Amino acid sequence: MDNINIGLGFRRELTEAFLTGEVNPDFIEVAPENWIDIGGYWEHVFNKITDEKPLILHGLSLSIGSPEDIDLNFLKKIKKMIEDYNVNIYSEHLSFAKFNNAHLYDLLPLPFRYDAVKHIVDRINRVQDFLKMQITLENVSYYTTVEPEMTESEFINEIVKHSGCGLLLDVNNVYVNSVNHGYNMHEFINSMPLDSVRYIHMAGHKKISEDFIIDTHGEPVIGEVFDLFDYTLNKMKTNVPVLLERDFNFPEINELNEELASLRKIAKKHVAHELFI
Amino acid sequence: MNYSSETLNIISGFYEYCKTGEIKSAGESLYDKEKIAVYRDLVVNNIKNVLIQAYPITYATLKDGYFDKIVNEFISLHFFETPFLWKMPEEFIDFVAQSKYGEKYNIPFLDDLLLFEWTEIEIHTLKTTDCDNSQSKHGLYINRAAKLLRLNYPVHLFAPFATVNKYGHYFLLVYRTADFDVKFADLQILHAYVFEKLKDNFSVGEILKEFSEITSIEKTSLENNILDFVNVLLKEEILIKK
Repeated sequence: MDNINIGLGFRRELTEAFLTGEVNPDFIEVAPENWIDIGGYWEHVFNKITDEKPLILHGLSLSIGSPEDIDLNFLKKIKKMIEDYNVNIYSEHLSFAKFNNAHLYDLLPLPFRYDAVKHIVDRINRVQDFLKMQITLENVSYYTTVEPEMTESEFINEIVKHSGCGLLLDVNNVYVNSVNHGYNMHEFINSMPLDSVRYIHMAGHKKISEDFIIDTHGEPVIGEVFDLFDYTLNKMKTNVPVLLERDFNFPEINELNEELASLRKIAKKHVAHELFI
Repeated sequence: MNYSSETLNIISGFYEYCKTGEIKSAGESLYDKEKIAVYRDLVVNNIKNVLIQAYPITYATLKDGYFDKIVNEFISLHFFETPFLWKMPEEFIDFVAQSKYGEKYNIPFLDDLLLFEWTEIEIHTLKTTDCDNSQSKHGLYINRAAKLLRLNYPVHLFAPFATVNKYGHYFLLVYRTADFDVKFADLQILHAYVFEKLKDNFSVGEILKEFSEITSIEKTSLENNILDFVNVLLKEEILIKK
């Protein structure tokens, strides 16, 4: 066993490939919001696939940055899914998706401000207390900042440090943000609390112009993002699960398998490196 | 809540812009208009795409941009309660009915069409653990993955605009088979009544007795009609033996 975990997001369009074993990742990831309360055919398929593969949850609606109280009814459902499917990682986004309890179903950026850090840390603690587990939060891609008092890196570090949450390091988001906001991606990785990284995401994006990229999850992972992944693993001391995200515009299965193989190859290189340390 | 009023205003302004497409005057200088437009587009496209998937017939039927107009107002004005995006289209039904779009745009069948399309999703995704047979007194119970709709326009029988002059009372049974297929059955009023009685835990004998007391229709013929219907329900596993 090389202790490498390379996963793939389970999307309904990929059902046949999963059921036939045409695609065979080490684990799957889903958004719990897309499966909670679902019965019938899709529940049957979901149970079949999760019988075979470990499951990681990557939520969309927790809205950790919202001003209002945590929605405990929603969190109860998340907790039940975590228990029912023996989930070890429940990840979410460092963003907000609702205001005054009204959802918008998108990941909106948080202002990098001191009071926001305090507010979010309190909410993370409430969620972790309720779930009785550490949660893992993702550095999101963002297209604009509003009245920041600190850098994105400082914002993430402060939140991780004071809440004890894990970090889901989305390497593609680091690349996207570095282009959109003109920072050095390697310096950004160096500045991250890498000891707190519990999970890594890799994905494709859409380049709109030289200095503007949209994080789509609908394209293949580009070489520079693979290189940044390699760079990141080289800096990290432990192995964590790595997920290939693909949400639409699905290619032939062999192309997805090639991407999974590329991730495995890079991860393997660093495990070998670790053995000699 | 630890947000300062300034941070709260930033968040609230951003959210409101994404929801309505309008920047509050106080926030004009705070945002890069080109960049925040990306978020507004993502919000609108995401919600619109889920609604199109849920209501493909409505989408194909509404002309002259009515669908887009209603969806835009839905996003701007509606308070989205569910954290589950797949359930969000159910909230669209109430919004459309309360806003009286059917009347406003002269699409009288609109509310029925949305209900018809949503019910297919509802039955398809209903959890089997929702089936509760504990209340059955007489060994038969209705499969919970079955629902009777009362419609004023027969949108299940004709192309939507062909129903405009067919206002009436229609009963549509929507149910799921053991193979997870969703099926539809147009019911006569008598059968709709029997279905509701069975659902209310009346036995077949009690229903037959009730009819023999209140109707003058020839008894054997009526009984046979009801029993034939009950047998169809059993065959289709809409009615299940405990």
